[in-house]
Amino acid sequence: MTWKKISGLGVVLAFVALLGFGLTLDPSELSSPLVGSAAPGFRLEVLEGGGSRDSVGLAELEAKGAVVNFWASWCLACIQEHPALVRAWRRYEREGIQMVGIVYQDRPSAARRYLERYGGGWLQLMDPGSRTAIDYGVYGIPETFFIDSAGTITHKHVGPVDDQVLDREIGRLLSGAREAEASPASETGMRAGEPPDAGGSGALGPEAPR
Amino acid sequence: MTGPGRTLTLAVALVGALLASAVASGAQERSPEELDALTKQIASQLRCPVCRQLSVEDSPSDLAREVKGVIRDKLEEGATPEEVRAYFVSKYGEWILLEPPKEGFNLLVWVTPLLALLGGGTFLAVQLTRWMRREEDGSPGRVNASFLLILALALTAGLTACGDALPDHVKEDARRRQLRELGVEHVEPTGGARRAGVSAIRRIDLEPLDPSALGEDTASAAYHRFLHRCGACHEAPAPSQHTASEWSAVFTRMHRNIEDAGLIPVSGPDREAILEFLGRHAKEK
Repeated sequence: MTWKKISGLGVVLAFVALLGFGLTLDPSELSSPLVGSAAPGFRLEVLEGGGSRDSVGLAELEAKGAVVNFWASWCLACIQEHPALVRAWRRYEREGIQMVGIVYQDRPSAARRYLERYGGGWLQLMDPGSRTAIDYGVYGIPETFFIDSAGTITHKHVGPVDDQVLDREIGRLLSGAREAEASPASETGMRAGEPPDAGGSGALGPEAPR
Repeated sequence: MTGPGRTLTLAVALVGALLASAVASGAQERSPEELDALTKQIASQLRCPVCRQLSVEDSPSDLAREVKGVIRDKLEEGATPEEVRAYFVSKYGEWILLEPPKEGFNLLVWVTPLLALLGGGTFLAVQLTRWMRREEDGSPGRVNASFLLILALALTAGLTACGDALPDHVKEDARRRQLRELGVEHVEPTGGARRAGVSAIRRIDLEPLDPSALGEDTASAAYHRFLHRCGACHEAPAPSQHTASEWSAVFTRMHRNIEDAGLIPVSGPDREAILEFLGRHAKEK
């Protein structure tokens, strides 16, 4: 009789422990499988800020690291994070960090108006059909990806970024780039990440002809 | 060449041609209808990244539409459904699949409900068998009150629904019969049938009466009054179940039920006789 009670209690306790464990997790916090792997490649049309270029691919960005930010003019949280992005751009562009905005499900005219209003002169790309966003596993903007000089995603931030996150993650990118420069064996520049991850099969590659 | 022989040759040729075309189409292109069906099938297995609780197929969001476009494009490029699913898992993680894969930690999601159902069913079966065995022995015994409560709760919804569906004259008949079985001829009770029913259920939790413990008192008039009145609606309980002062309170409570049910009240002398009898055999403090 006693062992029955003990085993019954054990089952109940195990179940409660399982539910308790579930309570410690946040279902809206989804870790991206992309962190630590090569950033998906892209070739997108420039909205503005790209200089003379019509379109830009990830591989062309020669930098010590890149910050790729998915945003839209209809996104309130994007307006909230925008000042921090502007500050990071002013501070880190000259240190070799390439900032890239990718406009998500928005009209170019609306995106342009947004930029006129809130400022920021970094590279802005259009993503019609959200193909690049899907390649990056974007589920709710704003989402910000930090990519090192080897083309690897080092961090993904979901929701509005702040100075703290930007400083910390960009700092990691810069120190990583310094280490890479110090060791002669490794290449520098975003090209090292080429070819971009394409899910293993050429037919599935984001750069495959459509 | 004979008839059957020619037919056979033709059949072999036909099957061969069909196989060849099937292999070719499998490796190369799918028809637009096939593509639509496959896209739909895969889209219904993927979680919409925006709304989460809907599938990509069911979601009205823009992103879901784009995801469907990606699925279709990849299929057109010759990717297998597995490859398409693997692509989305590699981008979004496992949560993009509406049905978690049946492996590792995820197995819990699949196995736990089944185990719970099995466990609950076994528990119910064991308890019911025990209960019924006791009834067969002739000793109603004591059934775990909480078990009864659970059973009652589980059944209430269904029973109420059934009861309400019955025609009024059937319900009235059932009520009268129930009362008659309880030894109650006198009627127009208000809510009495219900209360009697409740008492009938409650009797199972009573300590059953053991006449041999009462000795010669079973010959007394008080004993028979007790049996007649207290045993009318529920089984006559063992007097040793309560102390004398508790019995007084129980009697008052029971008498309220009698009044509510519209039954004949217990007369003053009867009441004293019954309480005296109970007091003689009551539990010591």
